[in-house]
Amino acid sequence: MELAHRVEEELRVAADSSQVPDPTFSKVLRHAASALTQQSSDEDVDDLDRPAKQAHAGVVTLLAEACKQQATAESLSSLLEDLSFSESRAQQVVTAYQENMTVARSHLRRLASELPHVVDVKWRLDHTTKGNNLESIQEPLYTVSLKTENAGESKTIEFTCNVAELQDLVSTLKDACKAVSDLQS
Amino acid sequence: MDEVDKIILLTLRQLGTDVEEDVASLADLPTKAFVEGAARCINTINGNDEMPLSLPGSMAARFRVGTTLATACQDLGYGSNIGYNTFLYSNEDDCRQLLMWLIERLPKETTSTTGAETLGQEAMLQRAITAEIDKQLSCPWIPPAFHRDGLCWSNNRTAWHLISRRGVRSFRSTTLFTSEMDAANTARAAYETTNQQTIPQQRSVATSSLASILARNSRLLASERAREEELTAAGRDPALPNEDFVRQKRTTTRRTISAKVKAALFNDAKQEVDMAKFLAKFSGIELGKMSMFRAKHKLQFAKEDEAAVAATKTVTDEELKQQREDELSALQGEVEDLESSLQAMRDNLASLQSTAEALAEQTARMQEENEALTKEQKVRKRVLDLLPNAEENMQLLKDKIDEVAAKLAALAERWEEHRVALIKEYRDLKVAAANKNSEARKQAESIQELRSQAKQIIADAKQKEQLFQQLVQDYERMNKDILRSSYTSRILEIVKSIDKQKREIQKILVETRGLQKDLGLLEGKIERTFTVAEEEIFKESKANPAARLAYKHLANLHAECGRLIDVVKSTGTVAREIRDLEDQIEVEQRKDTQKNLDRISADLKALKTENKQLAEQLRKK
Repeated sequence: MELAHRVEEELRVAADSSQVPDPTFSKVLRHAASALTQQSSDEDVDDLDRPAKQAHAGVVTLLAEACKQQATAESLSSLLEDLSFSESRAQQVVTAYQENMTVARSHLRRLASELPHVVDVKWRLDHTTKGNNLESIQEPLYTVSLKTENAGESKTIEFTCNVAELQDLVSTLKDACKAVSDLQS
Repeated sequence: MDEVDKIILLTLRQLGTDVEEDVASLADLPTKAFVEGAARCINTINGNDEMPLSLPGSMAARFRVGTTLATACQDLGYGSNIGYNTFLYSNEDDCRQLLMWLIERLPKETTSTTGAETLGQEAMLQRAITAEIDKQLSCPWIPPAFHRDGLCWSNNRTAWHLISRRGVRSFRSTTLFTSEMDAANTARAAYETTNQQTIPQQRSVATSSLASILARNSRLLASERAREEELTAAGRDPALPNEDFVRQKRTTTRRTISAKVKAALFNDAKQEVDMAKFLAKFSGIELGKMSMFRAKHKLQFAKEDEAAVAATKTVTDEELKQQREDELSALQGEVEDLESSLQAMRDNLASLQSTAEALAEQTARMQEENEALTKEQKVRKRVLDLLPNAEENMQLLKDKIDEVAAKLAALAERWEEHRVALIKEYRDLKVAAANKNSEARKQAESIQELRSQAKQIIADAKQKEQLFQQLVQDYERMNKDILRSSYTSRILEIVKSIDKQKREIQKILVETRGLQKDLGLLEGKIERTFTVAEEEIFKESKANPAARLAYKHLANLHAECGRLIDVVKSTGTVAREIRDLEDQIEVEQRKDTQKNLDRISADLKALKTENKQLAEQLRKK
């Protein structure tokens, strides 16, 4: 886990009990944890003084980075030890991390540039009888429309294909399924 | 034999054989368990499940199972005599021998589990992917309409995975406002104390707080890195205070920006000049001014026109037209006159301006001349003042000049002194600073090295700890029923005793060989003595009849002795045979022949009844 010097300085302020007394520290930590899980916090943080605000910025950054890396409790506590946190404070931070890590990671997971997801499919089978060049064609024609979704936006992809192309598509999809089930234990 | 039995029973239990807990030796092992154990051993050796694990109820089927097992053992290369009876009517010795032989042939368990545990990162990743896919596949399909936030929670809200892209947002961050670390600016500090909002309170980041927090750290990290790199590249101390660096950076950035802006502006100005030149070509026409002039006139004309219209309403159209044309031509002539006069006036103005400029120049020149003349006049006046006692004044001036020169020389000397000292000091300080710098850099390097070493050591320690835990787990997983040390000590004891026995056997062999040698020697002696005696007595017997008798007796004696030796030898063989037979009897007795015979006869009876039943069934049909 890499933290900027500035963040480390903020965390050192958080570790210093002369600048941030214990009750303020636990308040800051609760507020930071709620920021991490994006829940509205009912803490009254308007009366925090300057070092407490600095400490808050540091702790929030530390927790967010730890969640991003999915750091283990041991590595987090050793990092806190390096930043001269007292044992009880480090324990508090680690507990807050462990309690909120899953939810925070679920939020982090949803910060992404994803490929659209196919959520639904519609199809129609047409039969081509003839054209201006051919008196009799007599071929089936599939019209497939895939409904995709990405970041809450729905989009429809429509295409037509003949039997061979559709078979190719289906076999490719089957290959994909096979690859996934191969990875399965 | 106890230990051997224990090991065999343990192995059988490990293979999954159903052996009762109270069975302590192979003598107590029931036939059923023996057959199952042997079948499991054979299956494990062959790597298949062909052998039946239990004895069926009917006698004929039992017999078949026994034969199958015996054939399998023979196929594996079992040397001793083996048949269905070995399994069905087992005795302790055969059973032990067979099981020992089978267990020896069991494939060695793969002990490379530790190798599999300490896999590389790639395999760990593979495993993680597998676990994730398992998790996702175990989650039931949910119609997209019910994807609330795109997550599927499991395990009582302790695990989740993404099932839809509904809640996914792109990584957008905004700038966060946080307190500065140093309180140099008191106004800012005061603002931060009272009004600075914490990160989640800042409205602008409400939806992107996590992204903004991560982006802030990355941005700070990147700028710190860039700063360090820039400073080291410039050969300066990386420990330069941040403000100084920021100030320098700001000035350099400003300088580059201003240079760029200036260059851009210069280019624009050049273009403008070009445009002005281009436009100047049309200056003779003076389009704009002309039109203004016309507009004015038109306005006047329009007013007059209105008045004219009011006055001559009754005049006919043609007259009106004629009148207008006349008026127009008159006005045009007027305009042309005015224009020409304007041009003339302009020309006049230009010529006047040029004369004014020339005059101004002349004035300036004359003023300069005047100043120069005034100066000259002053000097001349002084010289004239000094002229009456020229000698004295010249001397005075010379003295003054000398004085000033001497003063200058003295000052130069003193300056030189100071300068040398200062230069020396400067050089010393420079060297000291360079030394300090290099020392600091060295120390920083060593600190970094130490840090990396510490990290490595910590990583090593972690790895070792993991290995240790793994080994402890392995150790716990291993069966502790076998008291290894006691077994090894016993094995060593046995080996020792075997060694001793071997030595004794060797000794006895040597003794026996000595005895045989002695025997041979004695036999030879007897033979020789006998021949010598025979010859002597035979010689005597020709003359002496008593000697003849003696010879006869001797021959008899020899024959009897020979027979005696033969008898002794045959007695020895018989005794040996007796011992062999006794051994055999013991073995047979140990085989519980009586019991087995009883069992066999009971089985025979059962077989017969089965046969009878079958025959009856056949007859009924």
